Amino acid sequence: MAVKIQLKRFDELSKKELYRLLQMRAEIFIKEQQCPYLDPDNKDVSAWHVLMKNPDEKIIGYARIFPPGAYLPGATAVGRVSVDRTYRKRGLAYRIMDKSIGFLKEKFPGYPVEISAQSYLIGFYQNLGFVQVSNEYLEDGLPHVRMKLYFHS
Amino acid sequence: MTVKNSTYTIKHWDALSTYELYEILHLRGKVFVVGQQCTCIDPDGKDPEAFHLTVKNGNTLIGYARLFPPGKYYDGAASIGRVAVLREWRNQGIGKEIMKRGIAFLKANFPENPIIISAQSYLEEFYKNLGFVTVSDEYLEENMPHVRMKLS
Repeated sequence: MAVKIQLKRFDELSKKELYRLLQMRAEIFIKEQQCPYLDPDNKDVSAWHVLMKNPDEKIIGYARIFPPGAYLPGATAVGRVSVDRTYRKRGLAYRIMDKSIGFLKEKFPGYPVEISAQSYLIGFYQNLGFVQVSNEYLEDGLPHVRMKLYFHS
Repeated sequence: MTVKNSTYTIKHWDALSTYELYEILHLRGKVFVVGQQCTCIDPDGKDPEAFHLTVKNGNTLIGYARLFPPGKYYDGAASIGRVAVLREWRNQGIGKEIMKRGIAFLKANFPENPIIISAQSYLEEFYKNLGFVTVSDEYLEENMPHVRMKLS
């Protein structure tokens, strides 16, 4: 299936795009994962937004990327990685991560990429080159581990 | 800062900036998702049809409601929803003021139509004091008890 991926800063997003990405995040992280947490956490204004769109221009996949220091000191970060329920198991999350990592490698090659990953996704992130750098902890009531990806020249 | 320094504004979705929309969804997330521990999808797709009433104290958004013209939420009736005030600003009459202004706006623009709301049951008295009457039995919405109320 043909998808396109766009990277936009917060102020480049249209209202429709912002609304749809927050709606999709709520569908997945709040409803599907039964977690009543504050998804629009005010950090989105500092992020790049990775929008994966289907041929009808609907956002069906997403991630947000932070420059060094905006989320974690000394590292860039990727978060809210999500794919609409009806588009799962087609490798789209890998494509979103590839795009995100490629962007960060080009723009901030001197910084590792650090993520707070849900534990059940450790294998997924390891396949992308991330290594686990912490013990398990709870975030919004769900088990997470910290993982890091180092760029070697 | 006192509540007297608050600014009330009503804007249609079309007039909102992206940042204003984000601020609104942030406040609604705080009050409804986190505050009421509700695993509900707050951006429900209906916001582009609504007018958005915001209450700001200085630069901070502290209160909100969304106003629907007739036919956008209920057939033949206007509606008010997502009435929210940040916890630290409660019990100062802001919720009542939001409702008074929302009602005035809808009455001025759609004088022929009643206003129908799906009200959380614990707020029935609050809305009755504003002139609403209960027009349904209790039902569950997002697992929380509600009643339908009407202002003619």
